[in-house]
Amino acid sequence: MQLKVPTLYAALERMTQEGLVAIDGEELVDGRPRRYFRLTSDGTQRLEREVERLEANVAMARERLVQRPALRVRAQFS
Amino acid sequence: MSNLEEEYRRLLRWYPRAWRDQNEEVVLGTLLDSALARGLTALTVEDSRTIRLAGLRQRAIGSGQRSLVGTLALATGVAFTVFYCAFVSWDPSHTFNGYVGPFTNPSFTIGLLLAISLVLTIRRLTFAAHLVAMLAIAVSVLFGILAWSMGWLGPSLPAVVLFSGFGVCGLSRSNRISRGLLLVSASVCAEFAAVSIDTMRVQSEYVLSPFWQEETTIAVVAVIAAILLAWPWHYRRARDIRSSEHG
Repeated sequence: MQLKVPTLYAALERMTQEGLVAIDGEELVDGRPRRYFRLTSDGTQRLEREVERLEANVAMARERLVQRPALRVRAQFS
Repeated sequence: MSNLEEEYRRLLRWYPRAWRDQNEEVVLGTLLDSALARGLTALTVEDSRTIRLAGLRQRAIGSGQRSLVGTLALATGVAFTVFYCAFVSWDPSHTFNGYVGPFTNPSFTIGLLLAISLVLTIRRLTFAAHLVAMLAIAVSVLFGILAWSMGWLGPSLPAVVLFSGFGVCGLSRSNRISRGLLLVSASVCAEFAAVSIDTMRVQSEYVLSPFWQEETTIAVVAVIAAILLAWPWHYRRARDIRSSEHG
């Protein structure tokens, strides 16, 4: 998935307003301003929760994949 | 300045000026870096579309900041509309000039617009919220004129002033109590003026048809009291949120 620059900046602005990230300075690189962001403590907590949620989804998907052959056999005899 | 940079600058004009003042150079630099990484020398159709849409969305968002005065005014306006629709204009058993469905007049649509404006405000789409609030004011005035000229049962002049007042207060960008109190005071003055004019006009005890004057006064005082009582609590809460964000 390729994230477009306007989409990225819209997301960063929203997360800044929600206090999940904060601007961490700007500097000129090759004559162009570059802005840096850092995760806030709220952002870190939110990210941890999101990672846990995604891990739970992955675990459930793996579990379903393991069960899949058995389901197919059962379908043949039903 | 390269052609690509010119093209990007031109497209970034789809964003509001205030946003461009703060972000244009940074976003332009990132766009050019991204184009360089992808080996682009000219704009793609997809890039143009994405920037235009993002610019329009940013315009809809406006400042993105919820105003305490505006949010509270819209919430009170929605509460008033529920009250008005339930106890004033709800009458499914009779038909009157200008009735819509079970309502004796179409004022519920103004409340619906105020509710949409409130939802947009809560979702921080402040520009869109202000547009809808302005539409609510225009519709309120239009219905008032139609009611007066075509003999509809409502909205009466006091109701039009109340609905419009909530819309006008909803446009406020302020978080200051003093500004809110000023708006409430102006609304109260306008409402009493409207009640007086309406009383003189109809020469009867009905002022907020089919409401009696006493009940109208109680309703207006209740709404104002609710605003005044809720104000300090909302102010403290907004201040706590702001201090926690900056702390």
